[in-house]
Amino acid sequence: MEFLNELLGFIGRWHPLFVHLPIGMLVVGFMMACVARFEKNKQLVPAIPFVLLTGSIAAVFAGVTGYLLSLNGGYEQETLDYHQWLGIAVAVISLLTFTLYNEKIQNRFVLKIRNYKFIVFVVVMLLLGFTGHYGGTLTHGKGYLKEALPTVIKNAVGMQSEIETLPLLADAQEAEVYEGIIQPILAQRCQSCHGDKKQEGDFALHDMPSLLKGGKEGLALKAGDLDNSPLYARLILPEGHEGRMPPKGRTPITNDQIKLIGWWISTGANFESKARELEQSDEIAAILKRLEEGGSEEAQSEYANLPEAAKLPEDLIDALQAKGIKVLPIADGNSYVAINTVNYPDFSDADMKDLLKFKDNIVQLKIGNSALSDEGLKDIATFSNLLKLHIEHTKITDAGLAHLKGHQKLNYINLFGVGVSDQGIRSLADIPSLKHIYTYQTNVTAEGVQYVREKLAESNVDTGKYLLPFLETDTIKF
Amino acid sequence: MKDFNRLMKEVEQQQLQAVTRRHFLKDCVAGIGGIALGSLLASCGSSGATEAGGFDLNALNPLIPKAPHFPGKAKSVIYLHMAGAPSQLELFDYKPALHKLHNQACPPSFIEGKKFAFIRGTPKMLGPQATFAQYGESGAWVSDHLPHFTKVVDEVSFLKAVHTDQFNHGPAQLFMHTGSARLGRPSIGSWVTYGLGSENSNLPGFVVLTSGGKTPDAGKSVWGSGFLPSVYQGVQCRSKGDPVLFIADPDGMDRGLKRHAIDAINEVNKEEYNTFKDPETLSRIAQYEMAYKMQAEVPEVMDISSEPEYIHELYGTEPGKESFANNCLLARKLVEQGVRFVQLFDWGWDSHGTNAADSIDLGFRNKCREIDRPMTALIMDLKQRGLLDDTLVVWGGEFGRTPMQENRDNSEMAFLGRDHHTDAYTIWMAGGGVRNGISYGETDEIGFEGVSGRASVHDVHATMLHLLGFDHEKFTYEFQGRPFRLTDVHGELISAIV
Repeated sequence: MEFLNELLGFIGRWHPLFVHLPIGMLVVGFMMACVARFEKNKQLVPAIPFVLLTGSIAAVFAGVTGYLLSLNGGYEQETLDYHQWLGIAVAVISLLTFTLYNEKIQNRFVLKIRNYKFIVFVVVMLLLGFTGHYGGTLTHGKGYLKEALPTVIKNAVGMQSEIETLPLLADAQEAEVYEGIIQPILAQRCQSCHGDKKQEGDFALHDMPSLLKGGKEGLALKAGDLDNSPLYARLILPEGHEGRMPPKGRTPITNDQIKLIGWWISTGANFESKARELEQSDEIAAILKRLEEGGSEEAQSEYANLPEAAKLPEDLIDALQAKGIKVLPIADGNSYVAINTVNYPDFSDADMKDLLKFKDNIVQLKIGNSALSDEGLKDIATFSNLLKLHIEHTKITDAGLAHLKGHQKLNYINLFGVGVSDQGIRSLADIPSLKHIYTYQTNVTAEGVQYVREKLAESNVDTGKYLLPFLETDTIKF
Repeated sequence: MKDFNRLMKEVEQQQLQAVTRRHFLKDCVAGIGGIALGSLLASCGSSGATEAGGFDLNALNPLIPKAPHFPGKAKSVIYLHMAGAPSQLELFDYKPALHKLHNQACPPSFIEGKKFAFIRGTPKMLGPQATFAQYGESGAWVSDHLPHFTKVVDEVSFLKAVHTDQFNHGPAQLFMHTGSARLGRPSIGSWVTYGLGSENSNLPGFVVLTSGGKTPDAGKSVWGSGFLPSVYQGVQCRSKGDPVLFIADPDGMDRGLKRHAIDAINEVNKEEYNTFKDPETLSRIAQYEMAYKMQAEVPEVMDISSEPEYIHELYGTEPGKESFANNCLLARKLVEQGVRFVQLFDWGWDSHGTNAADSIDLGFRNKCREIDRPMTALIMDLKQRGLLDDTLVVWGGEFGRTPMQENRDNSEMAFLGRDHHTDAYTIWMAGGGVRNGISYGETDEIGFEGVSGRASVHDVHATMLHLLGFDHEKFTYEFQGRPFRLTDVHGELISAIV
């Protein structure tokens, strides 16, 4: 019995292969039927019933394997139902079409509608198209096709394209929670399927009445009761659960956004209040703050906006590692690296030439305490993805720093113990992305720091020299 | 029939006779070898063992840098553990209401069903034995016991409502460091070095420093590697005398000779590995290599006497002594050299009030004095060197202390003290991608229990791993037939502070 079940399951797995037989055969049959309508192609007519018969038998077979496959579960029920019944219809009606095209069959019913055989065939083609579409949706997820439409066409037909990022709020506490915070999230994540144009599951959430009305399965939200608010509960279902929203294949909703929706419902799903009027946990307050500063927890990382990097030159990297130059992967699934020369204090300008060969992969250079000099920084501006540069305790001078001019992404530079002066740090003021500058034990003066702070409003220049003055209490013993 | 049975018995006897001890040992060896190979393959993935006689580079170099799940903001961790559990009510969790209730009997309904280590009967409430004020732009509450620390509060985020489920030091320390109150799990430092490797191949990835005095109650298991290969366990260094025992070669042994000796030993070990395929043999080879390299590097990095005078003044360090201050400076030096995880243990924070040294109004204040300057200096020094950016500093104990005065075994006590408390305590974190100046979580009016923003020990671990680039739910190690995590089946990221 066990064996039989497994065998049936195995046969079911062949469904994706077999479905293409009826599609191909029926389409060929249809094309033959089309051209055969012209007198000069009449010789094709006797072949049509044969093609139709093989096509419909293949359709029955595809249907059987499809049913076996569906027993494994794991498919969205509604789409599956459509696909199943449309598929059965294709098989049945294509058999009927065969009887209509086969002149040998002289059944009374058949005779009655034989004149409409071409129209019936057209119906088979339409059904075939829809069946195929739902089949595709089952494997690839909803909106698989639509998503890939060129934006021009999407706009032309008034389709809502997904909103990529939400605008930042000026003051999240003063924002109206529903209008200013929740509705934009719903618009971004949900309304391509549940909006004014399309209401899957008879549910839309583009305005207050439809939100309150709910959908086919009842109310969407119950103020103050998260457990009985599917609008929230379905967001937190485990990944892969069939009821989870947004469904497989759509851009997922962020954790911050889920928490905000949960907060809005648990505080009474109020449609008028401002954020400051609702009770906030520390966590919610922090998330609200993030709506002003930008960057959800995921996007906050400075690594988020880097372009796809080329593959790393493995041989060269092995050679560098053998020397003691550490090439450290930044994260799984990308080819960005950080360089650390802590085990190779002889790192010199010549070694920088090796790094040039994969400069676009390097996001961090920790090449302080080395033999590096100004010459080594000659090409530093071409390290286009460099975010952090450590050159503490090197022989770099103001002339070396000048090579950094025009860098677009550099975020952090550590000059601790480097003999640079105001002139050097002035050239850093032309790097708009620079946020963290460390000038402990350099010749940079307050004037130079002031200059940078004025030019780069968001930057933070740390001059160090921290002291902890002696306090009288320091020596008291109890 | 009877004869047949006797015959069978004799055959059986004969067979047993034929199996000698030699056979038994041989069979065992094959079996154990197989088991060892199995665990090797499990730990190294499919590339674990290459063809016979070959060595996998990664297996021989287990600390090779590895990629986390996503780019982490923290590259190193300095964990300052105050063993014994300092009182949150005298340091960060200001409870004016507790003042008013001072010396009043605790309502029995309040502590009904709760377990305490020493409190019995009806204890009295104990008001805060410190004066509090708000500091910095963030307005963080800090007591007058930590006057220096008030200067860096804007670099720090506080977790005010951490809770644990262990009220004895040993299990609670194990829980805090391994995610389980029972023995056998890897410590967080081991997990991190296992996941990220080490940036400096001449130093251990995970270093442990204790302030002298008592070692943590839970023993060395708090920095053990559990079921991870033992190469990931913490390496305890001494801040007084040789940093590692026998770090210097004996007289007459030069580096070349040492190299030859280690090469010979490693050859034998490789032979051993080829026969038995025990992954711990690889650990041993790696450890010999590491020890050889450490001989060159460790004495230099562990020597604070060459630090300039202003640094000694900043930290309050005295070279040659065993102290928390020295360890803070060492921690900075180690992190500067690319050590992944530096674990500090201080001791003497168990303020029960049984004598002056462990009383909340006397000995506790001396302890605060010992850590105030060094831990503040550590943050400042990391900051001015541009290291705080990717170094996560964590401070905390294994649990908190009760708002009630301890009445050991229902008696009056000569000194003021507080009992162990699991329901609420404070941990702070700084640097490594932690937000500045956040105070997350709140306790009730007397600091008994968290009322909002409660964070479990697992949540703290999940957050630390997140900062290092790991999704704590996907960071696993296969052991005894199932994947294990530091947070096991618990833990949620505290997103408010990252």
